[in-house]
Amino acid sequence: MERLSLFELNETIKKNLEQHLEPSYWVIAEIGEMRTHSSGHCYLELVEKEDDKIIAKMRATIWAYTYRNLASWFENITGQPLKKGLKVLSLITVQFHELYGLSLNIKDIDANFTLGERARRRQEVIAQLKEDGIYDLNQQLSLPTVTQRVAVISSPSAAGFGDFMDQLKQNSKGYDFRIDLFKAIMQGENASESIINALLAIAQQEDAYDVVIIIRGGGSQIDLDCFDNYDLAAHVAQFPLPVLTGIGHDRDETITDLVAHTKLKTPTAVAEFLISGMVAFEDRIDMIFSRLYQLARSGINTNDQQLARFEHRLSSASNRLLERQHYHLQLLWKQLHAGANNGMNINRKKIETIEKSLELLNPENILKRGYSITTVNGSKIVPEKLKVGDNIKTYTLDQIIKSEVEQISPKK
Amino acid sequence: MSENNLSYSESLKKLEALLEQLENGDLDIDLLSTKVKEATGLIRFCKEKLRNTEAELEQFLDKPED
Repeated sequence: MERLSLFELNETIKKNLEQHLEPSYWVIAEIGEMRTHSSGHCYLELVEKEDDKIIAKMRATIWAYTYRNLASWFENITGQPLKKGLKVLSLITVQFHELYGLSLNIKDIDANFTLGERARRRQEVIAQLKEDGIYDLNQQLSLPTVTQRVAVISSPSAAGFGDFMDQLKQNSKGYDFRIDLFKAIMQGENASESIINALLAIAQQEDAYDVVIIIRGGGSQIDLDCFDNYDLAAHVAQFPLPVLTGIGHDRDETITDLVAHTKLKTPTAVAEFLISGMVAFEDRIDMIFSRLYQLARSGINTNDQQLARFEHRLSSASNRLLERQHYHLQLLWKQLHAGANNGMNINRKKIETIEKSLELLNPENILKRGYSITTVNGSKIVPEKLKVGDNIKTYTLDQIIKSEVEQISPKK
Repeated sequence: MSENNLSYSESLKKLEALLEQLENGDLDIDLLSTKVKEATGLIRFCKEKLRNTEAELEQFLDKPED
C-alpha cells in the first residue's frame, strides 16, 4: 500500500470533501460555546443534544465582516443577541484545512427560525406549568386591600427601580410605603436563579409583606429570556404572596408576566397601581365615613323633631285642659247667674201677689166699695158678748155713725 | 331633677305616657302644672342629651374631608 505523508492525507481529505459535499448546507444546531475575538471574528462550538446529552459537536466561525452585520440584524429581529444556548438555523460551508482541520464557516443565520424556536419553547413551558397545575395559582391569591409593605426584587442600580421609588415617594396623597429591596441580577444567564433566590429570601418572612414586585429597569429591550424560564415562572406562580411584575418591555409578555398576579408594563406603572389601590381604599373609607356622618345626623334630626312634636303636644294638651276648665267655670258662672235671677223673680212675684192680697184686705178699700165696719166699745164685734143696748160705732168711708143695739137675732 | 337617672329612651317613654294622660283630658287640674313641669323637664333633659351626643359626634365625625 502507498505511504502518504500527513499533509498528503489531509490534502486527500480536503479534495474528497470538496468533491463530494455541496457548497453549503442549512443546518440546525445549538450554540454550545461562543466568543468573539478582538479581531472581530466570532468562534463558536455548535452542538446537537438528545435528552441533554451532546450527540454531535463541531467548531464554527463567523468572520468579522459577516458577524458585524449578522449580529445586529439577528438582535433586531429576535430581541436578543446571538449567545450560548440558542438554537439557530445557519447557512454553513464545510471547510477543511490541512493545518487546522475540520471547521464550519457560518455565512448566514435565519433569525425567524430562532424566533419560532423560542415561541415553541415558550409554549412548552406554558404547557408544562399548566400540566403541573400551577399556572394560575398566583392569580388566585387576593391582593390585600391596602398594599403598604412591599418586597421589591430588582437591581438597585436599575433605572426602573429609581423610577419606581420616585413615583411612590412623590404620590400626591402622601401615602407611606415600606419598601424592602431584595437585590437580584435582572438579566443574563444567572438572572433566573438570582431572582428565585430573592423570592426564597422573601418567602422566609412572608408575613412581613403584602405583595412582591419584580421590576427591571427600562433601557435595553433585550435579554428577557430569563423571564421565560420554567423554574422562575414556577416559583412566581406558586409564591404565597401576590407577585406584580413591571419588567418594562414592549414585546409580548414573558411567561413570568403571564403567571404573575398582575402584569404591568413598567416599574412606574406598578407604583401607580399600588397608589391607585390606596386611593380607592381611602375613597371607600371616606364614603363610609360620610355615610356614617349622615346616618348620625339624621338620627339626631329625627329625635329633634320628635322632641319638638312632644313639646307641641304638651303645650296644646295642657292648653286644651285649661280651656276646658275655663269653659266649665264660665258655664257654672252663667248657671249661677241664671239661678239667682230666677230666685229673685219668683220672690218678686210672690211679693206682688201678697201685695195685691193685702190691698184687697185693706179696710179702706172695703169701705170704698160701700161696705162699713162696726165696732163695739172700740173692738170688733164678738157675737156672744154683744147684747141689746150696747153702743156701737159704724165706720163708712167718710162718716162715723154712732148707734145703739135694739135687737139681736140670728140669721135664718 | 326627677329624670336624673333615666336614659334617653326611658325619658321618652315617660314623656309619651305623660302626654297621653294629658291628651286624654282626664287629668285633675290640680296636677296639671306639676305634670307639665315634669314633662318640660323631661324634654329639656332629652334635648340636652341630644346636644351632647351631637357635640360628641361632631368631634369624631365632622371631618369627612381631610
